[in-house]
Amino acid sequence: MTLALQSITARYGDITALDSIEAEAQPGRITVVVGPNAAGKSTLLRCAAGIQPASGSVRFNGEELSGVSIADRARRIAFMTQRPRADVPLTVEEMMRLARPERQQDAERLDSLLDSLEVAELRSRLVPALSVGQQQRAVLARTLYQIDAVDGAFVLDEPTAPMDPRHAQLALDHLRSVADSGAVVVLSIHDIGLARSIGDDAWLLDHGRMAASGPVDHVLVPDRLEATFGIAYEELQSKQGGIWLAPATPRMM
Amino acid sequence: MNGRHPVMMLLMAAAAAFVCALRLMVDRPPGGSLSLAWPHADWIQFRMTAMITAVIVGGSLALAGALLQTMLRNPLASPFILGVSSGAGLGLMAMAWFVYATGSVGASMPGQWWPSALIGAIGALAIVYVLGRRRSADGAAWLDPVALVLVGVVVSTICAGGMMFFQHLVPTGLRGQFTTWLMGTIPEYVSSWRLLFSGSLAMLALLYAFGQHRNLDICLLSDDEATSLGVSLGSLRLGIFLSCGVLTSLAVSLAGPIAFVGLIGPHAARLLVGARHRWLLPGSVLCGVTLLVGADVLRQIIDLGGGRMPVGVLLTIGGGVLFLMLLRIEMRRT
Repeated sequence: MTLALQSITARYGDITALDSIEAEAQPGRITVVVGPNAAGKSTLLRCAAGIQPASGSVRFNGEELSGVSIADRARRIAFMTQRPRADVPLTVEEMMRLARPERQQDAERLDSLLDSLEVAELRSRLVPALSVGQQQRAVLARTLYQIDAVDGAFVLDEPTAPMDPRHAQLALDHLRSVADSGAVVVLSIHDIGLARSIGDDAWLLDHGRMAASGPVDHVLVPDRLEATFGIAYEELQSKQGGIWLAPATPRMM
Repeated sequence: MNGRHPVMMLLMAAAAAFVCALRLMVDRPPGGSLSLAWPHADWIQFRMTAMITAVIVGGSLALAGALLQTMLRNPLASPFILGVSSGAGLGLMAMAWFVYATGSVGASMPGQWWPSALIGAIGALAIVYVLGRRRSADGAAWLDPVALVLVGVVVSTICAGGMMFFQHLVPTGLRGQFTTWLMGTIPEYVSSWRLLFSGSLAMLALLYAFGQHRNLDICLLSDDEATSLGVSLGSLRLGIFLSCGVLTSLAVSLAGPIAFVGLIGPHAARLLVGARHRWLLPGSVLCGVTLLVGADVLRQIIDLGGGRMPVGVLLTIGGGVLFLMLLRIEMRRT
């Protein structure tokens, strides 16, 4: 049950946003998508989720997505956009329930997601009345509610961007448990240190091309990151024994 | 399901039924005093026609407004503000002028040419939608709410100019009839087949829209979110915009361009039953009916000399003030 992209090329007018991308995301693993601004991360994720037409092929579980109906695709791949609509005139719970048809609602799972992402106390609040970080948690909860983790894929565009560090960690821990249950999880993230710590595999994008892909400790390494982002990175040893990546600031050098 | 909603719907239905009964019973002959009684058999047919027409027009405009506000993700969207009513009006006026100029059927009021209104309404809506759409750097398409309203106002103004142009081309007597129609009036004589045809089409549009209530709920989210949740936006938009074109053109061909019903009806319903379309769509219809039939009752009562005021004039003045009040309440609520 892999999410495989073959020869994906996407253009906006004269601009080539993605150029012949080849990539594969495996079940049970978190794939982080990393790259500078305008590298094509959002376009790649939208193509991977099957919501943006592009030349090439996107296959999930061996099946070509372009041959699957929109409704069927929504039962297999859940996509979280970078820009969810903030002024939805619904309560958090009403918004979450949109993720599934009426007959497939699962109150227990809905409650569990609201609890684990700490949005349970916000369930009766209108979405526009929430802070940006709270809205993001609610939208993440809705995305995770959309499909069953065991046989689905979650494609998430900067899911933790506006969250405070504690809630970002909470969300990433939850995504780890989702991946552990057998789902394909692909997410873009700007924090390289966080990407290295949460990801199993990485896709490093640069100017619409796949600069590198593979296990994070092969892709997210200082030399490669410096070549892509134009700043020096340093590997730091954490007290728990893990490796943390951070920009090498002048004071640190 | 919120248990408050069925109660609210019953209250809204009761309010609509109450104003409909009032429309049949309120009477004030020219120069006479106001009375409230079941009408004489000679008058019942006229009042019944006016009441049914107002029900169709009010319900259609409010339903079209609710659908446009959702599909265009803009609380200011309404058939009148986006130029859809004016587009329908222009279609009708152009056809009425053509009929007059060619002498093929004889000079007539514009309201009879519904298909030309439909073409005008859908044409105006297509222009507003295309020009109000933007695409961000990552390829996601979105509707710019400010551009939508600005384009709508300009399209509305251009269509209004076109209507004045056709008004100018007809002789004085017919021009006077055109002017009265343009103010927005609920006629007391409409043929039964036309009422049946209009009512049936409006009901079909309501049933189609109601059948899409879950997809419409999802359309409250962004395009990317709606698509990822399994909504086929292209076909839904086509169906809903076509429904809006049908509803608006029916309303305009029956009563002329009437402002604010398509804006206030959905906003009032949203305040009472929330934004879920299962409740919002029938709620908007009931609010639109109450508003337009209520305004038609009010115009029977108000006597400022010079005959009864066209309902369109009353709604443009009163509806604008009412909308500002509703907007204030809704802004506080969210």
